[in-house]
Amino acid sequence: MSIHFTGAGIVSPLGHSVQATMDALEAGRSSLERVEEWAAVDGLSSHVAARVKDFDNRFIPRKVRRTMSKMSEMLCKATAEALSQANLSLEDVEHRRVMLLVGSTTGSTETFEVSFKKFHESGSSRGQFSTTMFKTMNHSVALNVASYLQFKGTVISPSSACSTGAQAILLGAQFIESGLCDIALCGGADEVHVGTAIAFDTAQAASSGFNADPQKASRPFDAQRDGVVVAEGASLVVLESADSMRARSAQSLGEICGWAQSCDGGHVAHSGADSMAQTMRDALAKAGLVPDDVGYVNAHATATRLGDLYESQAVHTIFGDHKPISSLKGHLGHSFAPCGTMEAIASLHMLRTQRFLPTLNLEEIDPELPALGYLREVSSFETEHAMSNNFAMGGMNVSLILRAPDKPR
Amino acid sequence: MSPIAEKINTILIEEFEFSPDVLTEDASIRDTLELDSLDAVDLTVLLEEQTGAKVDPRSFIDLRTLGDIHRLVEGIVAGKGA
Repeated sequence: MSIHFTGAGIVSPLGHSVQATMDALEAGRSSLERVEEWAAVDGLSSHVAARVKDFDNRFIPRKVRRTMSKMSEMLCKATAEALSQANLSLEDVEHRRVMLLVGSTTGSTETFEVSFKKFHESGSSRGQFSTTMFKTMNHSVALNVASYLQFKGTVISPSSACSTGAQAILLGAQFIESGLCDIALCGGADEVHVGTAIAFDTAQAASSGFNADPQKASRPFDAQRDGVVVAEGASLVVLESADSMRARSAQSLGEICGWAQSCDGGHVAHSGADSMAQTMRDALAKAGLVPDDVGYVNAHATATRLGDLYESQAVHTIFGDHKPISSLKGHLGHSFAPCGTMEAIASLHMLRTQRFLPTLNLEEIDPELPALGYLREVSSFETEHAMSNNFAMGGMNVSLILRAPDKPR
Repeated sequence: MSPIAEKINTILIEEFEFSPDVLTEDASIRDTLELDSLDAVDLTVLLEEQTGAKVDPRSFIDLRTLGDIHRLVEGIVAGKGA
């Protein structure tokens, strides 16, 4: 059975659509900026983020929007874009066998902050908004997208931080393959909060050396990389069985032909190279491919010292010295839950155009990293397959293998 | 219109995104404004923040029109000041 992507939607710090985001990526633009209010936080050394600006939420009716924080609003926008591209109406979503698989790292931290601040200041339960619960639940984005779509099918809200979006795609593919649905709406969203920066800063995993030159702050694989730059956004794909796609005369944006997930089970903060490599190997086996069939690897690479090292070692173990590889975290920062879906969409775009994006800010390849084909400029070459990796806190490994549509444009 | 009624209408315009045109005294809470129990809670929170009036959202249950809300809150504020 082949499983196709028939729709995609993105809200990112680089643009509020797939096209706007892809155009900015191809132009080599960075979305990172200095956050002045973070510079005033005692003890916080990371003062850079990538935030979605000028987002207009008024397309969502007030009654539906009242329970949404920014992450849900952004995911509704990405969902609407993806459904439009897939030519799926709300009636189609209701009457076809569709599953909704969307998640976030947490509920809205900003909403939690407002609620707890009121409580601690007053010592009272008075003054709490009724909608707080819906914005802070772990499945907040799922319940809100479902409400936006008036969705009546099965809803599952995966949550595995940086791997959430990729895991949603994997689960969607598995559910379609198993026959439980014909269409899966898979995605993720997260919103920036100073608490995330504090958490990564405290764990010595946030960039702090480029606060004065913020667009240089996220630099995967670079010798001077010094950590994650927190970001936000939303992304969603429509996955569909070939039979359903053909019955609707929908257009394929590409296929998902292999996938694997595993838990490292080792250090809680990161996966090791061995489990990453095994996950990639398992994804290749699922696809029935050998390493030479894959022409490009879209890396998770968040610009931490160890994460990039272990991932590059794993890719080298599987693919050898020359495999073209890049990470989009240099352009976009690390958006956590949506990054996997966003990177899969970007990888499909690269497969369709046969133009492969570089890692932004990769000025000097870290000599400690193994030899790989680290892309430093937009590169044109022919390949039918790409691998997209995401690795999350707790050792959550996901590898996806994507295939170009039949006739690359 | 009393200052309290104006304040309530301002909240409904700014926070609940109603057009001023629909905010008539006889506008039905349920059928015209479509305010439900969640909205009632949040409206009372905003009212307390902006007027000091402590309104129990459960007191909205028996109200039918926007004018009823105006009169309920006006009464509470008057009682508070008395």
